Amino acid sequence: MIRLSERLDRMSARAASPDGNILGELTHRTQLTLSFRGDSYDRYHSDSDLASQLTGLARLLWAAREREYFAVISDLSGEAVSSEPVALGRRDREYREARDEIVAEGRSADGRVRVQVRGMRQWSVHCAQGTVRALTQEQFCAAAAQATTQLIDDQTSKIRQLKDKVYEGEAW
Amino acid sequence: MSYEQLMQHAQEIEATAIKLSTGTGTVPSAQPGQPDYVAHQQKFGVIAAFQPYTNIPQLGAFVPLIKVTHDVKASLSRGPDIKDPASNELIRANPALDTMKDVARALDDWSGNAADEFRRNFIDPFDSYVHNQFALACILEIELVALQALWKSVRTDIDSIAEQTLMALDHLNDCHSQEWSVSWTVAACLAAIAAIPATGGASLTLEFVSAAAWVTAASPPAAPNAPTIGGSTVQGVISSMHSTIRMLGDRIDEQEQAISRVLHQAILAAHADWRPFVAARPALAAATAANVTSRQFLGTPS
Repeated sequence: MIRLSERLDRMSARAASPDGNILGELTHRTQLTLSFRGDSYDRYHSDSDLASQLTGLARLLWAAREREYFAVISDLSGEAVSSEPVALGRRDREYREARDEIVAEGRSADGRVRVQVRGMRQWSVHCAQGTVRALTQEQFCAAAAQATTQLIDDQTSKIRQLKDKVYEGEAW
Repeated sequence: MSYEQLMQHAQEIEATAIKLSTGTGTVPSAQPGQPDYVAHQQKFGVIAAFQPYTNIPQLGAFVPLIKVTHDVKASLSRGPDIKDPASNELIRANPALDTMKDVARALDDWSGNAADEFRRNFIDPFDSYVHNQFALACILEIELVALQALWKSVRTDIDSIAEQTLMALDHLNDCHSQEWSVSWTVAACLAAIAAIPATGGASLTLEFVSAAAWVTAASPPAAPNAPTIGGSTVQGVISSMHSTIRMLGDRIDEQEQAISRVLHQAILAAHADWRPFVAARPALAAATAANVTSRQFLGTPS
């Protein structure tokens, strides 16, 4: 038997930034691998331009992750699942309302790259001033990966806390 | 996943549930043997819930019993066009039963009260006795096949409960909601169970046998209203698991009762009046060569 946890660990999602210059791959649930086409990293003249493209990439990458996730769920449950079931009970509605307001955040170890998301929908990436000049492409990719892992861990932790709070005393 | 690994999966469920319950963020989860671990083991009761299902009847144990009943049916088959009321398959005739025709012919030249009695009590109803005993053998075989199918389904379903519980636990860290359907084959393993007449045993016929002949599909379909394992907390998932195991236990009870009801009705019918099933003990059974012509047996009053 293949555990769902193993399938989710092996799941990968890919996406490109809106300008097509940055490619991102999410693996092992929290591991981001960034790559730039050619010398495109050096051609970002402002940190805000780079952050803007990364914000778009994060949104597209998470959407790709969601598609992969539902494909895994469909495969293991034996039925086509493309979204979660309708929230019928009070607790389900309360949970989803609160979930959509969760703000998760992650920072690179040097603090230069910061990623934030609300409800896993509204993404924002901030690059500290001078980041493009200060970091090589490899250093920047590593910093973005650190921030992403921290963000997803933060999101997971907050989801568990929220579920435990909303569904406390849950009985089936 | 397979039934043979049921307890291994129960241990996985227990370990996963305790890991999720006791480890948060940077706090490491409790380790086996630690007081917190043991307390959670007792609280969740996973092992105790699955343990009884390791002692259910072995499917192979039914095979020789079913063969015996099948052989009994074959020995009682008058053929050549006798069909098994359960499977509708032709059953080969037993030529030994044809010798009763020779007996009947041999008695053509015998007349008198004893001859009439013998014909009335043994020759004429012989076919009926065979027919009714055949029906009883069919009921026995159907009971055994039904029980075998039931326990096969139970294996599938308890295995599915374990599997889906693990799915639900593995899913707890995700932000989405998801429920996991259990393969509920126990509900459909005996398809014709509702067709059994409540008072059918009053007249034990092959029609009754047919009504009791459940369709035992090789791979029963999952019921459309199959229960689901779900929950948004560890306690919720474990509670869901216990609830579904209880439901499985209830369905087993229902199916066993339905199966035993048919057998009970057949036994009642046989006990209420045994004469359709077996001839009365012959009056000459106790006779010997020395006294068979006496007044007590074949002799006439002097």
